[in-house]
Amino acid sequence: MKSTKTLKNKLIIGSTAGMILVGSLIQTYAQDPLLSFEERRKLQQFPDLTVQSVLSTEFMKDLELYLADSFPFRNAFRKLKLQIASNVFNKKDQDGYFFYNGHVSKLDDSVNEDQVLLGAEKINALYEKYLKDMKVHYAIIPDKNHYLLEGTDYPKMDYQLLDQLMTDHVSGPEKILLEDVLELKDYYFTDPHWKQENLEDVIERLGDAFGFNIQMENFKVEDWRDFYGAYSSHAQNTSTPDILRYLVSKDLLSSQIYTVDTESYSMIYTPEANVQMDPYSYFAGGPAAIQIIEKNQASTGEELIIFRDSFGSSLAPILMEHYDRITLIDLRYISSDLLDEYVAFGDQDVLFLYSTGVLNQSVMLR
Amino acid sequence: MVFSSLAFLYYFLPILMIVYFTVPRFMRNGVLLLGSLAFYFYGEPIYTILLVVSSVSDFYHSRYIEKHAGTSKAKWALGSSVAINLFMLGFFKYADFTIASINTIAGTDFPLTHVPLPIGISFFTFQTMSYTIDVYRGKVPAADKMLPFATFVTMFPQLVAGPIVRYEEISERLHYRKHDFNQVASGISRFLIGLSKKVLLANQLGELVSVFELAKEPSVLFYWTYAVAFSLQIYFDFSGYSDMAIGLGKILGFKFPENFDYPFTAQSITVFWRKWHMTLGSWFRDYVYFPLGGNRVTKVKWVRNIFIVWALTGLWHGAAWNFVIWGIYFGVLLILEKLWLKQLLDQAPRLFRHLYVILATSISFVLFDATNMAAVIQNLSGMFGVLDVPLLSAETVYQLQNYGMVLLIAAIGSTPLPARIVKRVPPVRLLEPVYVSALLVIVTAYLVDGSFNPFLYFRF
Repeated sequence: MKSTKTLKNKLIIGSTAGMILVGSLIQTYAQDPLLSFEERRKLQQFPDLTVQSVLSTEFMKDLELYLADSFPFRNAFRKLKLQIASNVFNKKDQDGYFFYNGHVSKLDDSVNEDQVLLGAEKINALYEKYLKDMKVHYAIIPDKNHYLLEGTDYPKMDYQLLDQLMTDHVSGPEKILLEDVLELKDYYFTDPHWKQENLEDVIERLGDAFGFNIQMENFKVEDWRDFYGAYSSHAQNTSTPDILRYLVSKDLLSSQIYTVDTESYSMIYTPEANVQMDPYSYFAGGPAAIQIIEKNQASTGEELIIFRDSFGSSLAPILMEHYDRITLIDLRYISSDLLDEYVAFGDQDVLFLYSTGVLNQSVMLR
Repeated sequence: MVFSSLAFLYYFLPILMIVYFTVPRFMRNGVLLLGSLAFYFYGEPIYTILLVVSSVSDFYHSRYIEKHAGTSKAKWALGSSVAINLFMLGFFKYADFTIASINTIAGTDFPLTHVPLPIGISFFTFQTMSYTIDVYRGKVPAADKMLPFATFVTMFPQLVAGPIVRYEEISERLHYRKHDFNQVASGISRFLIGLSKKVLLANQLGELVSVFELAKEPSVLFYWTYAVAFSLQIYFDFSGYSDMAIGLGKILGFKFPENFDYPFTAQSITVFWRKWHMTLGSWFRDYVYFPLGGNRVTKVKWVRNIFIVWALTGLWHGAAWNFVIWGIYFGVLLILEKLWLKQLLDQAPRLFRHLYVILATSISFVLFDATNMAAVIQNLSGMFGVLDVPLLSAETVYQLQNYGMVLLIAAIGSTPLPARIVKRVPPVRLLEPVYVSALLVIVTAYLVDGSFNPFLYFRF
């Protein structure tokens, strides 16, 4: 009995001390990672050691962040935490991220009426300043939770309330309803975005409003690669990844996209963009203030301006089937007061296309 | 530095232990002293000097007291030592509270000092005051060497969050201590259990408290859930830290006093306070309550003594009126129990007695957690259905589902049941290396991916 106790105690000491020593030695000698592709962010590096930073304890705070970010097998430990939280503590969400029905998603905030009204005001102001006498519409893209959490007790945004607020307060542009032409299968499993290859009904609805008729048969669907979306690092289960697919056509292949921010041209689908950190930037190179997609050879003489968020990046290439030129404007990156320096407003069609998440934080729209 | 951090667990602790167990025995106090100063410096670089001042001051004061024992010089020296400690505590912790209170009462506009509160000042000042008082009383001989005494004052395991250790409890081991595998292993187990209580339970309960504070659809049930969650959070946070301190002490060769004894199993508030933060309770008993006369005075004076002790206990916890009210609240309950409530409780079913304690303590911790009196009134009103909130809401249901298992595990963990299972079921006992190692891995996972790691008793 005594020997059993001694052996047990030696095992306790050996295993715990061993783990701690191995962990600290590996961390000390391994190269510090710079980025986490799973978490889509830069990782904290060893902080500057100065007298000031030590006396103010800034060094110590940053050191804790660095130790967590560079800990050996960090991703494995993160997955373990998710497993324990889900299977032992039965948590329905972890820091707002949850796994349900094969999807990883993030809990919505409830409708922030002030922010939605701010968004409506922004649209009205832009309409008054630049867009009167033009054909202008707006459309709201419901978050995938609207479809995913139907009939569940997960908290979700009251989409009807948000939609009604916009209906009541947007005075110039006419609404295009998209809620009834989208469903859960149109969104990625591990990302909040919609799938480009599933936008046929959306295109048809937009076509009814703007008066165009885009035939989806003109496109061929190509597979690019496995897609682990923005939420994938929060999934405790290794679910089957999505496949990022994209649509190609003759017009698209001959079109180029000009990014005003960087004063550079690129193809519409950009594998050289920051795709490891944000695979969705494959569509049009990711977020930018102003981008212009132009066909090599004009055919309809029609132009479109889309005030958009990231969802617009995958929609715009399809619309090139009708429009000769599409200007994409992301007001999160440029002030609306500067627009006439870069965009000549005339007789283009105009679409305000925002997701519920952006409208719920309209303060982002400058 | 906090125990529940990667810097402590994977760097400070192994380096200190390697050095501590490698050097000759006569150097171990020196290693412990330097390590403890480094530990404190990590969290409070500028205020480390306070520890040095406190150690030097009380070391020389106590030697003077002992030298002049029985004379008025000893009394003056005691007064001087206590005054210095109380001045440090009073200035750093209570100056702005006092100024703000005067401004409120007298309508003045004196500026606040905004002086930061040194970590653990309430603990180490009380610890050193108990030492000089005990020397004055002749309970312990004054330390004859600075090094072991300074080691006692600064010892990192219990420096910033207790238990409040009396000098007499460890003086022998300051001069000579043995180490063996069983003791070290027992210390490691205790430390890791405490760390798990803090990281796996207290932090998650704290998340629920934060969720409540941001609730868009509060309900009466959500208010009660918050009260219970915060009560459990503070218990696991503080008792977890005490476990870690006791475990570390064991590894280093010391035996620290227990600080918690499953307080939520108490059947009266009187017993609750014999199980909650026991070292603080005994400190106030020995150094405030008994010198005032305790209960060996007239009934009026006895009530006065209770109120003084509990007002001071509340004030010790925080420089704000809600803490004073919290303390007095317990004083009132203790008086009521001693006068007639205890007889009533003894006749009531056991379940009723437990519920009474849960109810009384949950209400008390709502007082404790409030940032101002308006929050006290709001939260208590919410609990008792006075606010215009429903009994239940969709958000409440969701959060109860989300945190229900955490609450259940915490509720069971606050009883002796898990410890009894480990002790009495041999296979579980033999698996101790497995579950202790597993706890280390899981806690590491939570620390690596953690963004929420508060420690509630840290600013006392």
